[in-house]
Amino acid sequence: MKLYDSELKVMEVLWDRGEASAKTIAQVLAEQVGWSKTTTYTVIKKCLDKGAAARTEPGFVCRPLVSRAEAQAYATDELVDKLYGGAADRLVASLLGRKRLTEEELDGLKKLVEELK
Amino acid sequence: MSTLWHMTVSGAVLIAAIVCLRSLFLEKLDKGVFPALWLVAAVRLLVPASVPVPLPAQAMELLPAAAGAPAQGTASAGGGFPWLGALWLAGALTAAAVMLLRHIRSLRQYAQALPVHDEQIDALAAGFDLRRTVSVRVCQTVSTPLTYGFLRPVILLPKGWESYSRQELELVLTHELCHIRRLDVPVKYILTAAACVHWFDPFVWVMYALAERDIELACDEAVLRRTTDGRAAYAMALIGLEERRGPDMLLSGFGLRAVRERVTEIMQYRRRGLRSFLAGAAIVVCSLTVFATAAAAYDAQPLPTPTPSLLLQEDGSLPIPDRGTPPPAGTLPERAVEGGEPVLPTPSPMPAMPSPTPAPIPVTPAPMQQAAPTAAPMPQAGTVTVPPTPEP
Repeated sequence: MKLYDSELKVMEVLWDRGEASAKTIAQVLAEQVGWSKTTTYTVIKKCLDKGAAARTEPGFVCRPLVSRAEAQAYATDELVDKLYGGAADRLVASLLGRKRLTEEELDGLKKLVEELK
Repeated sequence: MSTLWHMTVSGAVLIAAIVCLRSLFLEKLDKGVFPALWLVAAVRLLVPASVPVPLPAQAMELLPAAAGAPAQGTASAGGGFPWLGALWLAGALTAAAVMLLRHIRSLRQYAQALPVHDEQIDALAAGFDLRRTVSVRVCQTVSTPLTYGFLRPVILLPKGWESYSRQELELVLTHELCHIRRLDVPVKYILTAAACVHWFDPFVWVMYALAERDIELACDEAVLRRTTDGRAAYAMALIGLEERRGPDMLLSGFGLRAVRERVTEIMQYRRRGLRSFLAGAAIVVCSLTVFATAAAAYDAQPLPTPTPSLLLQEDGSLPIPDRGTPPPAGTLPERAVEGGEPVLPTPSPMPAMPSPTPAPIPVTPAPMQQAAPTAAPMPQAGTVTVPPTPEP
């Protein structure tokens, strides 16, 4: 499922909180990115239409149907397809080539390699 | 209805005059002149003159194609005002509704843009001493940077803006900030309103299309005046942006032509002297007085024959005796250039009015020859009837 950056903003709020009423989302995003209530509601509606979130009636409480990991996986796949011709190793090579990884990140990657062995 | 008709005819004269001016002096004058002239024309088309402007005979002669056919229509339907009026109203409302709905739909999308946090951007915006605060945001649904909003202007960058070089980013933002400073957004609203009211008038659509281009050209010139990067860098940045729009944004013939025009004008940019600025200001003031004030000013305006004819006789009288024998090499071309140049300081707002042509001129003056072919953009009218939305 392709989520636009604006929709991801709404989803971030839902992922952070587990669930949130439309009103809360509007308040958070008004502060974070300066959206009006109408704009936030429009974007929430898009998320609902796409099936990324669902609402329960009393109080218009929304909860995510797509997990953060799923959304990230999709975005990564798209990135790999678009920029690296579907070859994930080239993405990793590019990340390593930038030499801007911290010790911590490198440790994480090493651990990942160990796990996948 | 007759008020509208008066506005239509006087507006057509004004538009034709500006088109002529544009084709003669686009390179020579400060480019800010042309958006200002279009604004005068648009306001003239929107504000009914308190004193009805008499239709000068020349005007009717000048515009046989546009003026002829509908004039008969009005004459024959003079009594049948109701249905003609209703037709006009229906068209105007439809045009306004289409424009407005499109604009609102775009604004809804723009509202979903996300803020950008970037030191260079903040510094640039702060360096522009604007009274309004400008916010810069990223919008996934735009393919090229644009500006919208009047009281709270917003600059939208497309999704991939991170790939712009620092220099490109600076030039792009300077361009948009110049739009904001020059109040181009409200100017576009006024132009769009004029186009909706005069939806039936091809002249007005020509105005709309040309004004849109001239706003960009004037803005480009404002950027070049401020930047130290130079013309080539700016032109390349512009081309780079067009490239990055991607294949989904079809560069139609018209769009490509507009970009080519902009690049050409950018590369020809020179710093202009005070003279060109004053000439431009004089033209704008003249067009304001001639067309904003009504009948009296119109009649009192003398046709600007004296100066040009003086020049032409000087030019023409000397070469005549030399005609038979080959002229000394160099003299004639030089003279021609000299003859062409002084036209600049004496621009009259009326090149569209063919004064009873001074007959005894053997050599046609250069500017007049130019006028005929370059005033040709008019036939475009049919192709430009799909107007873009007024926000960028």
